[in-house]
Amino acid sequence: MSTVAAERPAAPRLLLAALLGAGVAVALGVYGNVHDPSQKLSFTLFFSSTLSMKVWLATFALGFGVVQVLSALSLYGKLPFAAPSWIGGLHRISGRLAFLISLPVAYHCLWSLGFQDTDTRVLAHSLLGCAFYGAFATKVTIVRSKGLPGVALPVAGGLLFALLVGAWYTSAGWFINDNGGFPDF
Amino acid sequence: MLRKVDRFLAPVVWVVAGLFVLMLIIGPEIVAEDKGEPVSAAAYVGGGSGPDAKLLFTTHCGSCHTLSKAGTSGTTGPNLDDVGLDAKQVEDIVRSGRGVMPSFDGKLSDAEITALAAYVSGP
Repeated sequence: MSTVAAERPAAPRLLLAALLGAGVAVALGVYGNVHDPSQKLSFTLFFSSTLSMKVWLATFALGFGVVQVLSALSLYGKLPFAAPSWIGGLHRISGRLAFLISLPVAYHCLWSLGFQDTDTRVLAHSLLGCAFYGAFATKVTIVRSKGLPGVALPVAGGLLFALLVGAWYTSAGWFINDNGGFPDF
Repeated sequence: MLRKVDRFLAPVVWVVAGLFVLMLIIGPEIVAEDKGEPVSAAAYVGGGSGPDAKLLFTTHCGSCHTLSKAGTSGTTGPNLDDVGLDAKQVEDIVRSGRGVMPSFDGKLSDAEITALAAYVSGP
């Protein structure tokens, strides 16, 4: 069974992973556009305001994204020291946490604000946010597939991190820059 | 230790992701803030004398902004008791949006936006 799977050509499976990601991204964008933004939903979890929650959680997610990149570089032997035995666990956990803590932010964006194009930054953020979750779906699919070219996973991971940076820069980064710092915790 | 955390987190991620999708779909039905009929444009009109700016404010702005005369205490956006904007500035922001605040151009009529701006900037 596994031999048959390994013998399957990689290209269609890569295409399937990419299509799955594209489908997720488009679905979120369509939802954000079709759903009538309530502009009411206000939850803060344990932060002082919704805005504070979004800025801080997005920044934490970015931090875990940096851990992802560094641990991946270590796993691939691209850092000037041997990968410690626990680095694989750290990589998986940081990825899971980055995804988990991004969800409240995305939920508020999608439900309360929706997909918007009021200016270039807002449009870029809407597109990057949707693309981020699409890239996440693609990366998870690639991680769980066997027999794909070795370059597929680093490319998917790099793209995912780039989209996270872009989504953060056009929202939390913009807010921090525009308001002279982080909001109160 | 990391392995235990990872084993715990693995199903949590899938469950939360599932809840995320579920809440996107059925959330408006079960969250109190979104229950009920949306306020119609006609409901904004009080006694035929134009838009009810206070009702407009509490409906569209109050969850994010504090404004004592409207009795709202939102904390997402600036406290409007403190900002000191004139009506033109408020109207521009309402029309174009700012930061995470969406544009209301096309969602509210010109008369509603003007009334809202006058209300927010007024005494």
